[in-house]
Amino acid sequence: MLDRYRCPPLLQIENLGYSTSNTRLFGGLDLNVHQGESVVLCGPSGTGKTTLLTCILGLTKPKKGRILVAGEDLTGMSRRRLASFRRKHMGMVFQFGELLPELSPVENVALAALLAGADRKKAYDLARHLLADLGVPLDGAPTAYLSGGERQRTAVARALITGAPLILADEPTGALDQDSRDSVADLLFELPRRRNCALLLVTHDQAVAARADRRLDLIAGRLIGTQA
Amino acid sequence: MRPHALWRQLLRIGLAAGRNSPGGRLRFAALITAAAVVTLVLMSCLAVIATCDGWDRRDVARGVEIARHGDSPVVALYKRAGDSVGTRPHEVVYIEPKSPQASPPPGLPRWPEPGEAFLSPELVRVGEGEGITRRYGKFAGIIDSSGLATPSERLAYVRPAVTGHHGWSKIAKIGSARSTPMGDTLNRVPAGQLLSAIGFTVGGVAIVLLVVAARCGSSSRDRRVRLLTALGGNRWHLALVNLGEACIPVVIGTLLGSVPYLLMSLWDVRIPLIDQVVGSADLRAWAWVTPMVALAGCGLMLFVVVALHLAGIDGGGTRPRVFADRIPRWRLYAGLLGLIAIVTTPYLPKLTSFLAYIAGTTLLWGMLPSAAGAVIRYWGNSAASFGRWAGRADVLIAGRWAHARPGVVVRLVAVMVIGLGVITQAQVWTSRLGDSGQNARALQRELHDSVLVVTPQSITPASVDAFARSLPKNANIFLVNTAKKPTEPSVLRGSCEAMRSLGIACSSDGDHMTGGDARIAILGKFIGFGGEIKFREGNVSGNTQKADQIAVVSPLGTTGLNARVKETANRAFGLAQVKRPYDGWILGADRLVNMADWVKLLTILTLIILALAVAFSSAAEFLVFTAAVAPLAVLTERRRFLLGIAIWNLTVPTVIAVAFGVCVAAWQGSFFISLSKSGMFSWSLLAACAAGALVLAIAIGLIGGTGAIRATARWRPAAD
Repeated sequence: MLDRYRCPPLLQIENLGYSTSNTRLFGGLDLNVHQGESVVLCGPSGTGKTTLLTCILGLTKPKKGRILVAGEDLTGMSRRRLASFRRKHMGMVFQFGELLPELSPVENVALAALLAGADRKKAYDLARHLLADLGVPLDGAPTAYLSGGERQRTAVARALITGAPLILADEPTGALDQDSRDSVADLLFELPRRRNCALLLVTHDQAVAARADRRLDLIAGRLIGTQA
Repeated sequence: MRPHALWRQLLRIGLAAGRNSPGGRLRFAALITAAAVVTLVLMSCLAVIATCDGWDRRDVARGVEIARHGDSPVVALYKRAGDSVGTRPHEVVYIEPKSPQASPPPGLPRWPEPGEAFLSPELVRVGEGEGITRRYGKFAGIIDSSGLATPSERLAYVRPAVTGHHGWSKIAKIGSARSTPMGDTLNRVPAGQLLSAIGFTVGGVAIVLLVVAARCGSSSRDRRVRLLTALGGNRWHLALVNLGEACIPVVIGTLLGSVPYLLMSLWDVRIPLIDQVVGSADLRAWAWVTPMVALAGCGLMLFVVVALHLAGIDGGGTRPRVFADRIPRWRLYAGLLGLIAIVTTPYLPKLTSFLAYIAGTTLLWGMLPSAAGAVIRYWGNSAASFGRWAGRADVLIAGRWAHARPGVVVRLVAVMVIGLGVITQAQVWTSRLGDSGQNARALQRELHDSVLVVTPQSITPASVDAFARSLPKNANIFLVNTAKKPTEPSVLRGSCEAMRSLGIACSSDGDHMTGGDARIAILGKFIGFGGEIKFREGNVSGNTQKADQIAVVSPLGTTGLNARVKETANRAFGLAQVKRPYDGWILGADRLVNMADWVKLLTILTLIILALAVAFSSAAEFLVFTAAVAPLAVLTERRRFLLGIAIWNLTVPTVIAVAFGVCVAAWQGSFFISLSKSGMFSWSLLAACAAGALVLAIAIGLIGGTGAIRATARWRPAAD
């Protein structure tokens, strides 16, 4: 057993239940993700992987159960408190990056920090530093002119800029070619080790899934795999 | 699936898509507005037809047939004359019944007694300050709407207390289609002309608004169309989905657009700017047509909406381009050339200067969107730099968007600036009076009511005495013997006191006067052939045989005498016309002002609709932009900064454009006035338009921002 499992988990999901008007997505779901650990979530389409991520982000209210991040229960938080908590503790990488193409990569990354209330100078300095660290060109060209891989690296930098200990990623390599996919996957799976954060990544890509510390499959509302 | 179940299903898909698609609410609102505006235009056309129809019927009913043969039975005598309240002319019809069986003119409950007058309600309303109800004798009552061309017609039926009827016409019959036009009919704009004007101005832009509303949020609809096509759907299936999406707002808009016509069928309504009242009875008579017009309009609009989306079936991708193309430099130079052409007009010969002004204005305004594009791009870059420097995310994003895709802002800015320019130019051009009008205005300012010329039906010593006694002390009269030949001067006979009041030496022999006091000069022009008149001292009541007119002279700048003299003259002489020497030009100019008011009304309506179209188009495109920022806004819970983006991206540039437009419009309007040396600039109109534009600029920002906040609130990650 690694040291990280001796500490309390950064993300702790207990008996989570969620259903839509006519489908029960999950009934009593449990999941722990520790700092410095990467976990991938696989499973057939429509089983609720993205919904689970939105529950963790607090954008979707579960029917039952608890979601604890850094020891605090999100399900009982007010909207304002949740927003503040999310800005501080969670970063998200989307499938298509969801960047503003007219802004430069530095501006896109700094934007998240500015909206989280960071100081302007610190936000831009940190954005530059992060992008340089992740190998994104800093020539000031609009993000629209970057390659797919560079755009996803920028999206990763944006998720990291607030220093969030929990990084969520929803199909981050789904729209990339093989080389870009490998480079982005390398970057993402290095994060827990380099930054001691927790990574929960949703993917259908078996090659990407194989790089994680643990793999869980969401099938028929249950997580199958190695639980920590 | 059975065919009848399929069409129902497709309609239902359309209805659901209308509720849930991105920007659905905005399109809903835009379609309601567009449908209401299109229906309003159609109903306005119906109102014109209804009003003209009622007008024609009343014209025939009150038209008089002149007895052309000696043996024709005569029902009445009549004589028409002009009069005015302020500077606005109206018609006075003098009547004298000759047959006890004859019915009075329509609108009158009975024939007026000698010395009585019936007046139209509008004449009573506007003439209250001038004592109009006393002007023509005893006020007998008002003319009913059945005897008026329109409820806003100014008309008087007067039966003067006179014995002689020299110069009157014999009427064989009242109620004839062959009569000469009278009252407002003299200045009536033909229905076809009015319908064309409405159709080409407000009708044209209403269609533009409909197209813009139909295409609001079109990217998701175009994708749906392509998807249905790929699934084997034909045009009929696509039409049904689009029909389902558009039918509810179009029907609501049509109903809303029909409401004003129905309300105006219940009450007479005064139209702002043109100051004309639309008769409810006329509209009621055609109210049965409104369901058909509404139904036809609704069908036409739905057809347009459906056709617009079917046209795009075979089109290419609908993804918006990230960066707009560069603006060609020649357009900026052409705009500059236009500006130079305008500025140099004072130094060019008259015709060339006019052509240069027109060409320069067209070039300047035509190239304005390109210039605005360049300015907006520059502004966007500066705003982004400022946003970055200040750490303001909203200013940074708004600036970058404005720089990358200035089209949205450019359209907004162009409509605002061109709109302000067109309104002020329409106002300035229509305020021009020409040289005669200008001279008349100058005379009016100098003379006011200090020279009045009375033309009575007949003059007797007693009536002159009665008239003179009722005038204020500072007013003097001269009996006028108008010259019959150009070689003879007209002679004005008055007391020594009257002659001295004009600065003339008292003499019974008389001097030829052609100049001197402004009052003498104007009397010379108005009464004498070639400006020649002769003043002679004498008793005014004793020399009435040859006199045909009376001049009332008071100190320069006297005001308020005109209305009093009109009343007094009618009382003393039974029937008299009173004119100020400049009235002919002023009253003619006021007819032009009436036309100018129509131009102003149609211009303002056209631009309001155009501004609405641009506002909806801008807000819709803004929603497309904000989709990109939704994930970040949701995750950080900073949704209000979307409002900041909208304000910085849409409102601020528009406010700057309005300020720029006001400066350009004011400069060009004033420049045109100094160039043409005529007309007047209406600062109040420009201020009102600028205030309206500012309100619209703020509204667009708020609509775009709140729409983006709503759209963002619904966003959730959906990659799975």
